[in-house]
Amino acid sequence: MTKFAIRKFSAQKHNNLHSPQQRRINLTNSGLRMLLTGLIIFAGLSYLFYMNQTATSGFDIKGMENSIEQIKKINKSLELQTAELQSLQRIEAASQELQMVATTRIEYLPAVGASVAVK
Amino acid sequence: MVIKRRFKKESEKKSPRDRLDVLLVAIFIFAAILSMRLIDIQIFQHGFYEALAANQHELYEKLLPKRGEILVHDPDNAGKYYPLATNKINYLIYAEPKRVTSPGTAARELAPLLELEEAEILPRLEKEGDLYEPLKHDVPEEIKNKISALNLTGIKFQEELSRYYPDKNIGAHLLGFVGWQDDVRAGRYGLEEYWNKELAGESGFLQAEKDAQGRWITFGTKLFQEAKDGDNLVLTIDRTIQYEACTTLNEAVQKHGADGGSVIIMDPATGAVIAMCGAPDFDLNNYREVEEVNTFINPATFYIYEPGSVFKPITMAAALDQGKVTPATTYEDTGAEKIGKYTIKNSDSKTHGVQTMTQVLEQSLNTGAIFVARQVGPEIFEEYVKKFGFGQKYGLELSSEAQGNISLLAGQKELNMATASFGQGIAVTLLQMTNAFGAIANNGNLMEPYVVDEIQKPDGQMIKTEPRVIRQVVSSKTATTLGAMLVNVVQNGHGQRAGVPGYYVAGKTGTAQIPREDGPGYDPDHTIGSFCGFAPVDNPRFVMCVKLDRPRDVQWAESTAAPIFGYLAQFMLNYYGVPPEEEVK
Repeated sequence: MTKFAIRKFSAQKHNNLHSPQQRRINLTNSGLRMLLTGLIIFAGLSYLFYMNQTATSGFDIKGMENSIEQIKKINKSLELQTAELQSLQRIEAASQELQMVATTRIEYLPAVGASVAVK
Repeated sequence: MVIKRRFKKESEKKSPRDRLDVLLVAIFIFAAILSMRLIDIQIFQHGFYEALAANQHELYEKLLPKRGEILVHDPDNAGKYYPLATNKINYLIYAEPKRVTSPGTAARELAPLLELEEAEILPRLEKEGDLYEPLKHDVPEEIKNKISALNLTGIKFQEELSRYYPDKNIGAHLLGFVGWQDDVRAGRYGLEEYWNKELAGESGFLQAEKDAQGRWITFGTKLFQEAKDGDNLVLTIDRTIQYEACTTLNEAVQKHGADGGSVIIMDPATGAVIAMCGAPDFDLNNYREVEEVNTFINPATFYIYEPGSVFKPITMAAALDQGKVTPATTYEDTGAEKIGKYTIKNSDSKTHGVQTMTQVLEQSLNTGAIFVARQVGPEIFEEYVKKFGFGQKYGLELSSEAQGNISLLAGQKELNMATASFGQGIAVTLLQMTNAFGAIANNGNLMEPYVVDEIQKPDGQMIKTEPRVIRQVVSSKTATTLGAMLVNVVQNGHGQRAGVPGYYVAGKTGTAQIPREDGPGYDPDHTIGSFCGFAPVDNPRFVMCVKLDRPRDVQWAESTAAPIFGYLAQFMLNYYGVPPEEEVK
């Protein structure tokens, strides 16, 4: 595209013609340059924005992963606390502290049959 | 159209200098945005990114596998588990001696917190040019926080996972512990040792190419393999029964001044181990405080002993199964049996006259056991002893299991058969004894004992252990008949204190002599008291063996092991909600 524009420009120089057709080509050539510059700047800014977004997202993900790790650790710690509280040594100590008494006799009720008199 | 024309004119006038200006402006805007972002990251959000960067140990976490847990089913919540062995975050406290400004002060302040001698720490802090010197592993968080508050230069800490046992000493011999072996954490004793490979998992690795000076080549080949976490083990153990069995055993050992003891409780229908305890035990979280290394050995599976009269039901099973005797078969007890130059007497040294086979077990008559063994002969007797699983390892998933010794029977001499018929001259483990009684309880089927119910892989895969019948040792009829005879032992014989009111409990006592260590013969002062049995006899929920080594206050098992059995049997029947079979008077 650029080569084509240069060739056109060279032809214009050599022939030194100033027809409306030539002016149109000249105008297109300048506009193209502006457009290209704009595109480059836009692409650069877009790239910068995209990279920034990616980096930010990366850090966000990392931050969330760290949060997950922290929550997992807290969860593990709570699980340990639960296990300690559920340990039978602790329960027995607590039952003694509360002066609870062990069951000495269990009475089993006879199972009721399928057919029972309503009245 | 006007704008277009103006633009056309301006663009025509543009010199290369103008275009350069445009480019400069663009670059300036680009650089300004970049700078603003950098200022934002490095100054305004400095704290956040510093925290992220500081989290470097994450790499090590990815390289080091998490050790699998040892769990038991929670009977109150289906699908939930309770940890018997788990991991706890502790800290490694280490020094960077090169950066320690005042080693003397640091050593003085660290010593009481780390429970180390000052003289032990100081030389490590004074090592010139040293970059890393570990001071103590497994430091709890509260101590680490106290050290951190001291703000000692060059003293650092790093998270590490330590093994933690919430139930402390309960089931210590079964579980084993994780200790250090050649600077590597490894399972020692019990399940931790036997299943070490599965529990430990696989370490990851980071492989990178280095240049001649040992630096990583930026564009070289790099391989990163994450660690593979260890498997979880779910045991067949019922922690409530285990707790009751272990605490009862410990109390009994203390009460009778015994050297030690063991209890094994199994489900006779499956071979699943419900509880396994040894005494004296130890706190798994403080195993370093144990002075006697033998304390770590599981007495229930590793220690062999001459079982004594508790072996008589095995002899009786052989003769019943061969059809040589029935419960009503009689013989005349003369109080002693002469074999060659040896005379074997009853334990009570009495003559009982004509006795039935049931009475042989009730009165625990040695002469009766010899009579029974003679009915089958040495060859068949040895065959039955082997069929019941004696003299061979079961391969239970624990690090220490003995196979016992029944080599005396190989010669098939009458004297050896006669002594073995009442449990002398052969050596067995409590596990073998329990499983043999389990076969009687399980219609004659000898089950393969197991303690690991499930293996949970990190990827969610689960391997479930299925009960396995090793062999049919005796017929179902023999087992039922023998079970009924053993109920009589508990109701009328020496095992009365093992009974539970309202239930038919089958069992047999055994007061075994202990071979002398300084020569032939038996120790006249010490015995091993044991009791094996199961209940309820028609649908056994458990089979249990209790053993007490060298009780000092009483001699006979009916006063040592039998009461422990009776207490635990009652506890389990209530725990399982088994209604009584007869009215309690």
